[in-house]
Amino acid sequence: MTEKTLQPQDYMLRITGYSDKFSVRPGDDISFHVHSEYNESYQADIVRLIHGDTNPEGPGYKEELIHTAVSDMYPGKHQEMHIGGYIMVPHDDRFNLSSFTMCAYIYPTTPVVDTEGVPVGVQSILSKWDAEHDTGYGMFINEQGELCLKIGHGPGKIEEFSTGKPLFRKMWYKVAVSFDAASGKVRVFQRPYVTNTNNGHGMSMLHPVDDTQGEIQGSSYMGGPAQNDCPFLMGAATKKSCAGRYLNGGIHRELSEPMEIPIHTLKYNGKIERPKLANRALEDHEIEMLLSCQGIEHAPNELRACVIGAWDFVSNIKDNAASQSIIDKSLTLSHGQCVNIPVRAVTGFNWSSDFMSFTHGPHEYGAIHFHDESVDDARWDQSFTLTVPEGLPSGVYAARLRVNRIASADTEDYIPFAVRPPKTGSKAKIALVLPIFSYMAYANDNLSVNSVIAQLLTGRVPLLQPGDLLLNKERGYGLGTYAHYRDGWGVNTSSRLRPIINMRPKYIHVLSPSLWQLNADLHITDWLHEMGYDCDIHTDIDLQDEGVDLLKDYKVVLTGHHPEYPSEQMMDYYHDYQMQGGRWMYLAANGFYWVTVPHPDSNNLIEVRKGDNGTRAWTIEPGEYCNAFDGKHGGLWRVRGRVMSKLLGVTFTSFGLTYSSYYRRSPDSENAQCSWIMEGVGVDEPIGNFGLIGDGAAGLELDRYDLELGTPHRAFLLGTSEGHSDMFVSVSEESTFNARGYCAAGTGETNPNIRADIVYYKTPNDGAVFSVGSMSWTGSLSHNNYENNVSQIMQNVINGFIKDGPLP
Amino acid sequence: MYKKRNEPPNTALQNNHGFIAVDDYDTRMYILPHLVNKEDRETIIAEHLSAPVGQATQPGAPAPLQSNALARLLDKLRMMPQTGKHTIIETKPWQEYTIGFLPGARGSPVQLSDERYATRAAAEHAIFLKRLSTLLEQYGIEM
Repeated sequence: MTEKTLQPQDYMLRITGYSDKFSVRPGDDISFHVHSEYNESYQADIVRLIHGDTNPEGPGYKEELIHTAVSDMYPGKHQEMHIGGYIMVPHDDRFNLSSFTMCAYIYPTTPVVDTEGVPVGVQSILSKWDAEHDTGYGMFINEQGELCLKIGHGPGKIEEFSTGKPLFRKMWYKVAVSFDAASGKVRVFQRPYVTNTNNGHGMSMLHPVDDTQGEIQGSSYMGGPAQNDCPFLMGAATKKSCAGRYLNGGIHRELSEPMEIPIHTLKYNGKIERPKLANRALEDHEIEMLLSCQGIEHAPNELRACVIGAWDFVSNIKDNAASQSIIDKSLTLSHGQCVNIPVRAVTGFNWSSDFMSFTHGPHEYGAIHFHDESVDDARWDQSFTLTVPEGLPSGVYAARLRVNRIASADTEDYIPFAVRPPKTGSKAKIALVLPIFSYMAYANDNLSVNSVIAQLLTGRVPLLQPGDLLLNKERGYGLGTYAHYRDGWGVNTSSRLRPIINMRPKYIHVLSPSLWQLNADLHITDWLHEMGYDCDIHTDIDLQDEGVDLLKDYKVVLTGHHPEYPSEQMMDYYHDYQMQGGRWMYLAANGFYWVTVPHPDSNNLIEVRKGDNGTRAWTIEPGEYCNAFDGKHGGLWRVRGRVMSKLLGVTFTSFGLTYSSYYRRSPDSENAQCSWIMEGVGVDEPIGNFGLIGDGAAGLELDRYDLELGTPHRAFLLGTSEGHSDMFVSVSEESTFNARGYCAAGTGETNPNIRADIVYYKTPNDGAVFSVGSMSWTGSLSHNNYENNVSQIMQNVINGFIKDGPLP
Repeated sequence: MYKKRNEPPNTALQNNHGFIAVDDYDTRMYILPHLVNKEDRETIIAEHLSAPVGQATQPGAPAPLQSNALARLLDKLRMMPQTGKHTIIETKPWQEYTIGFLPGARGSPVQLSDERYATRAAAEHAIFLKRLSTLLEQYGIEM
């Protein structure tokens, strides 16, 4: 026991940040955006990351200080995150109305509480509302979950008129609020709109309807709403009109000039469709007429003239629904912009299930889903910039930040980045392509705290480090594709432009006994460094931008320990590399698994839709399988005919996020074409019964060969792991039935498909593929001062692969 | 202004009685019988202490599997709701750990206890004992 009672902040990380790019070449600039929790000053330095694993049983943490102009003390600044998706229409005096009608279809997903039972509070659906000064007007859901109209007359003077009936979760409603200044008459209604299909997993049998259908007519005697300079927002209200932050470039490329955004509040969870704003109180039949069309195409001329906002969420759906622009079809042309990536390409109030893709029936996908935790970009002020020195060797680097120059877990953070070789090329024959999209997919998963299944997956209590404590305190650093939003919907986008706390050296990941993703990939950089191999670092984002040309000069390409989230283009380029004689090392498992799509205007934002199939953190809603960013079917690559074994020779077969096992050699390893790979390894010698990830080279996730799933017919099986415990389970895409004794759905001790296979095969033009089918392989490389059979096999393969001429 | 609450119907179905009832049955039928007797309980506790966080498979040996009684108990304890659930916090990397409590609601800090442990495994076992004691208490069994 200590004398002092511990406080939550005692071990919380006090500094963090992100960079504008992840990969740079000598001569490029890279900027860093730093948050200092308590406004403390900090020392920034550039370091080269060699080995990120702090485990005392291994070689220990290794970094090299690089002397650059960055090294200095900087004043710290607390930088807030403004999370939660909404649509913004800039302030326009025409929206300072005395009489008005607002109407829409809505589908609330947290009308009262979130999925953890925590009250969500007031949520703004459509508003020109200043929440600090209580001015303006808006359509809200109140704390009781009822649709209401608020009219603000100034501080403390708010009139609220509610239907008095609760809105149900996962139910479409026709909603409207109106106010007539001349008569003082107010109307508010919510009417459920239920078909057999439109509510997704919500009810299609609503009885009695009066439990949730409500309407109120009232009177206001305080005059119309007080005017304000707030933007008109959908899915939020304004706390402060100008945040000093701007939408500019990237996914907002369609804007002709930067657009300043507000600080927003009263965030809504759920869908909105066909929102309309009119400058007088409309009759019922007029509201019906407006809601019957996307814009104002059905409205007679008199009605058209009074509509000052008719936002049509369908009109710019083309081959994709990636645009962040919101088109106003009213005569005012008050177009808007999405902020914090609310989800497009989702089913609308009229979804019939006749169309399973929004590109086939865009008129049934006219909704946008808002989530109060989504983030597209932190938009923090820039803190310092590095011009990458000429001659700096390619490698993984980081801006190291230390509060008051103190090196401790809670005062130190790293913002990692890759330095590529100069454009003129390099002498390296080996390239390591870091899987950044996969790092993004796992960003800030926070499963330790938010997911009840985490302890079952790992068989232990999660470990929280200082960064995890900050993540929980803030909640606002945005989530990754392993998390759910508060309304239970899976997180389908992930941005790199915010702190990614689990993409750090020294980080111990909840899904592993030790490392995962970037930090585990540093096991590879360390081994290459120690072995004296000259290796260039690139990222999959570079591959996305530059194509297979990026790889053509390398004899050997490695893809990291878990490249799970590739784009279609990356799949093509790696395949092309193999066809053109490239020699490829897959030191991983469960790679090339999920269809991943970068936003067409920014590689800093990805989309993933986890479909009905696959080992997945969540399941996409009915009808929402297709990615907004490219219009194509999301989910497993396997579902699109691109099962990973076509590219790797092995396919995802099992996972057990716990302790590992080892391999045994297979007869093919003695074949004349393969024996060079096992040189120095005894025929009966267990391979990798040691290591820093679960104490073994075969672990975490496992892949096996499968001739039915595209493993090339002349592939060789060099080794197979055995002895995985009952924590290792079958992947759900292969467990078509769960039956006791049916081995396809069994666990490590009952299903012979639960194993990692080392597979090797030749490709055209003297190319080759070497796959290990395990995510813990790389953790074994440094064992016994790098002298061990995993390290030996790696040296054999690389030495063989970098030689010119045909393979044995 | 309306301030009345809009509670869902107070039915067994809305209260998820089915799950709760079967979960209780499973606990009483399959988990508690191994815990009622002090000697049995101590055997399970000793088994947990021998490998609190699991272990790798050694060549030539079967994978280290937990006894059925311990595995069922652990799965039950790990499935408990997140609010107030124990977690481990690294206070000095590789040297010192404490036990904390999850907030449940997002955006709330993790609360820390004053306990200190020299290893993750020791903290894991301490949490196991705390959870076990809470479960037994729920069923009126003295630890």
